[in-house]
Parts: sequence; structure tokens; C-alpha cells
Amino acid sequence: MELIKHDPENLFMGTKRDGKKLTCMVVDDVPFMVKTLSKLLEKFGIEVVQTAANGVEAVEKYKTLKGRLDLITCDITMPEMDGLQVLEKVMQFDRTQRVVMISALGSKEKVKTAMQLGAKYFIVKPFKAEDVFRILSFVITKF
Amino acid sequence: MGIKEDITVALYGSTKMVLKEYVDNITVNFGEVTIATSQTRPIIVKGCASLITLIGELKGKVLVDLPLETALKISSIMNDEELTEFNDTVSMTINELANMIVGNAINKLVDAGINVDISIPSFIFGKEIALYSSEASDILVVPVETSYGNIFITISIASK
Repeated sequence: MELIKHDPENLFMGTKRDGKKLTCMVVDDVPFMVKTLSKLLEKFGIEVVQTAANGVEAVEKYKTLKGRLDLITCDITMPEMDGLQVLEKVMQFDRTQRVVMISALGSKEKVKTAMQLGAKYFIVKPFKAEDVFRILSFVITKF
Repeated sequence: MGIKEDITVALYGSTKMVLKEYVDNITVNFGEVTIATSQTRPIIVKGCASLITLIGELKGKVLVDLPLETALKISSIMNDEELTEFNDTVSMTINELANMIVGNAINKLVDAGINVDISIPSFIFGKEIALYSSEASDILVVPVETSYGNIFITISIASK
């Protein structure tokens, strides 16, 4: 995917060549975290087209959206099915899907496991807007 | 510094960082720490508490406890909506707050080579609930004085 706009000054990632916004599914069991991330993503010009409050819901929703999502942000610690299991399932459908894991636990081991499973990056909570922008910008441009 | 001091210092740093990041206009100061060493002394819950177990080289528990009024104020700000009574949003918010505070403190210990992990937070709602530990432990209570009320962080580390 090629981006036609990229303006870090205005924290705007831009649209795709077809003029449509980049799309994202936010997966997190905590409502305020979904709100916080969604607001940030909208600020970056990314449309949050779906949210999921647990792993099982995330995989079900992914099945109906696969091929149409540019990005997934996924919490690790969640009920029903954790984020690493979600990541594994998503990778079974599409190894190229951009999934960015988000967790309060950012030990090297956890990050390594997530990256080995196919995550494109790892964000440690609490996060700053500029860090999320920098990471998502990198992920969208590189993968 | 010993491992118990390491976790305490790490918790001070992460508490301040997490609260400042997610709670607008909050001021954070730390009160005087009380220390006890007893197998029978319980931890008393003050209102809305999130309990996280430490697993690995460092065994123990961390309780992030807020009186209901403080929990409602902080949850309202974090969720950008007025919460006037206890509900799932409050419990999930306080659990996530505790998860980030303890998680970030643990990250520092892991980076320093200490093998430790944490459990998923368990939420406790109620006043004057006594939590007893089955193993000998050192208990530290750190009062965190904020502009929205006090938060009490209790650190219980197994003696052996």
C-alpha cells in the first residue's frame, strides 16, 4: 500500500491511493483504552471500523473483515482469549496483516514472542500519542 | 538495593507516570510508607481494589486500592464520562490502571534481569474487607496523595 499523505507535524497519516481512509480494528477489553486509542487513530486519519472487547469477538469480527483491514491494534491481556492467541489466529488467515500488540507488560520475552508470532510491532502502555503515531507510521509504511 | 526495595522504587515511578499520562490535571505525591512484618496481619480493602499476584523470583501481591469516591472521580476522567456509581466500567478502569502501574514496575525489574511476571488483576469491591496471606510476608502500604483523593498501594512480598 502506498501512502499519498504523511505529515508528522499534523499527526496525519493520510489516505490510500483510492482516496479512502486507512482502516483499523481496535481490540481491547477496557472501554477507556478503546476510546483513547480510537481518538488517537482518528486524529491520525485512520478510521476505526470495528472494535472488540475480547479475543473470541476479535477473531469472529476479523473473519468478516479480513482483506478490508489495514491495521489491527490488539491488547494482550484479555478474557476469553488473549491477544497472542488472537494474533496466531489472524496470522493463520493472513501473514501480512498488520497487527500491533499493546500491553502493559513489555518484557523482552513478551515482545519476542509476539514478534515471532507475526506482530509487526509492540506498544507498551501507557503510551504517548507521538510514540503511537511514530510506530503506526513505521508499520504502515514498512509492511 | 534488595529486590523488595527495587519493586517499591519501581512502583513509585510507574504510579506517577501512569496517573500523569491518563488522568488530566492530577497532582501526585507520596505519603509516609508504613511497614509491617506479620503472617497474620491482613490487608484491609478500602473500596475499589485491584489485586495482582507477582510470580517468579519475586513472590507476592500488589493491591491498588481506592476509596469509592476517588475511584469514581478517576474513572470518570479516564473514560471521559461522568460515573456516579460503581459499575463494570469503574472496575475495568481501576483494574487497567493497576495493570499498567504494576506492569510498568515489573518491566523495569525484568529489564534488570529479575525473573518476574504478574497475574491478570482480580477486582475486589467493598469496605473493610480483610485479605489474609497464607505465607509470611513483609507488607508495605504506600499512600499516594492525588488531587482526586488518596490511592493506597499495598505491596506484600513473601519473606522467603
